[in-house]
Amino acid sequence: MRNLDQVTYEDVPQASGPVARRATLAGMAGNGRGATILTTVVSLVAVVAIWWIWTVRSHVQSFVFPGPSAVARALWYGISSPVSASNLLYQLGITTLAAIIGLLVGGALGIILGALAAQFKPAERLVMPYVFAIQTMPKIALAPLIFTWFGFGAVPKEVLAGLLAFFPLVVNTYAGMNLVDRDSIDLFASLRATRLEEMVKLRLPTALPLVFAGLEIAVVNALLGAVVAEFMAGQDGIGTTMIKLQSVSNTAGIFACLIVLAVAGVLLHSIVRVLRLKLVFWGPASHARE
Amino acid sequence: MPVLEVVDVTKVYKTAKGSVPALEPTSLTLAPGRFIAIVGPSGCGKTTLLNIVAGLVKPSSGVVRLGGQVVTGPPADVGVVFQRPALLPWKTVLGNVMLAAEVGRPRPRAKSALKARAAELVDLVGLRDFATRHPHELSGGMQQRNAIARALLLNPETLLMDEPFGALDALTREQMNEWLASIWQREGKAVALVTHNIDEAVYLADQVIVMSARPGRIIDRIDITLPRPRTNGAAMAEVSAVIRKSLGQDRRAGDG
Repeated sequence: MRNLDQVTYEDVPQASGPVARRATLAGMAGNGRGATILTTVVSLVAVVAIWWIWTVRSHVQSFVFPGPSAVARALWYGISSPVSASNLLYQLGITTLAAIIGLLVGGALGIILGALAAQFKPAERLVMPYVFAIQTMPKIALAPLIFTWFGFGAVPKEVLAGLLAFFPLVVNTYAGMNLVDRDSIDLFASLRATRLEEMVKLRLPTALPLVFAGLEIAVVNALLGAVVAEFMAGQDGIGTTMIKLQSVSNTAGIFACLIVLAVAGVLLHSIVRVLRLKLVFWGPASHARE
Repeated sequence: MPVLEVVDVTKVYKTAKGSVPALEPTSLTLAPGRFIAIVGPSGCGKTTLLNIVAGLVKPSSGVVRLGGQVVTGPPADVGVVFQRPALLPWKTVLGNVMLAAEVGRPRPRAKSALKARAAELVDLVGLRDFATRHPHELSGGMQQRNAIARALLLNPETLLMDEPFGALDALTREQMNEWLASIWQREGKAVALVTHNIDEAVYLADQVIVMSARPGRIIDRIDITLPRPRTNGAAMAEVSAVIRKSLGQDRRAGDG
């Protein structure tokens, strides 16, 4: 008769009853994913508890560092407010929309340019030096220029988001398409494939894992770009809301905005990640057994 | 009329340090339906020779004719199997075999007929139960069988193989040799196999071409008339010994 904590999830038959249920729980806690979720929940509760105790004990002013209950109230108000100007979800939607438009345009341009540079030497020689040079520059510093050229409103947000999405995608697409190994190129040559066939049927799929990795970075960058544009000269969106809240010292409100923004970032990133896991099912080349 | 003619082919690589001869003037012929093996030490240029025949590398001089036509690039009617299977990881076993139908010239191709042949080949190479699996689910031997099925899809007259079983362990390798011999007898292709494994060459080939160390040239051609399937170990060992002697003499001559 085995000890219950030695039972793993796979061992448990599909029976009901208290023994099976206890075994399942013990099994799940031992299984990797369950342990991770448990750790996250426990640590979250601990952080909130420490935060609450500290704000009460240190008598810090609420407008400097609000306690969890103030933030929770601000969050609740922000989510449920019927006034669109103070509804955080509505404002977040505006920002996210601008980020996504920027991501789609900047990202598509990045992928196309990266693919062209990987496929055609003249394009590579022309484009890549500039890309690598500008890549390390903090592109957010271009924001004042962007406002001069594109005015105010949604467009400068989209442009900045697009700019920040462009670079990870052009670099990763270029690198991904060059990942193709010699053997596969020889294979396609021996099959008498045309250059176009080689690009579409070999290089592009080979690049997908890196392209998606770039997309995961780009999506968060694009959101950041939209928010920063709003910080600087925004008329709406969650970044603008944060500035407005700051001007009236509503720090709890700012925390609420940050929470909402963080959730949006995680959600967008997860969507891309799920897409990647579904489309790029073959994993890295190291899967192949010899 | 031989299906393959190699006439005085050489290959010289130009590097920063000067010219490196990889292949001295080499000539050979392959008759339809025959199996030749090219054996030699590492670096002797046998892979270079195969790549030249496959149209992947241009010879520095000399000419290669396949079916009477001079080879200037990868020719049609030739199937190539490389040392590594080079399967596309996002395609299934069947999909990888069909790759031969989906790219390249000439076009158009009878897709449905080829699909049927692909299924037959997958069955022939013993991967019927894995037809919808992906390469990472296959062992090394299975991947190579998949690659061989791909090379056979368009029913080429000639099959070129560059150490196809080099990455496999000795046991699997022996099994693959037996399997390849039976496939060859069934399909009747002309095969040129490059290998550094003498026993493999003796088991499979009608003629073994022995190459010297770099720069490679042909130092011996040995016809093998043993009946198939080749089970007479002693007879095969005799032939192997002859080959080893050739290689040994060449090595000693080179050391002098």
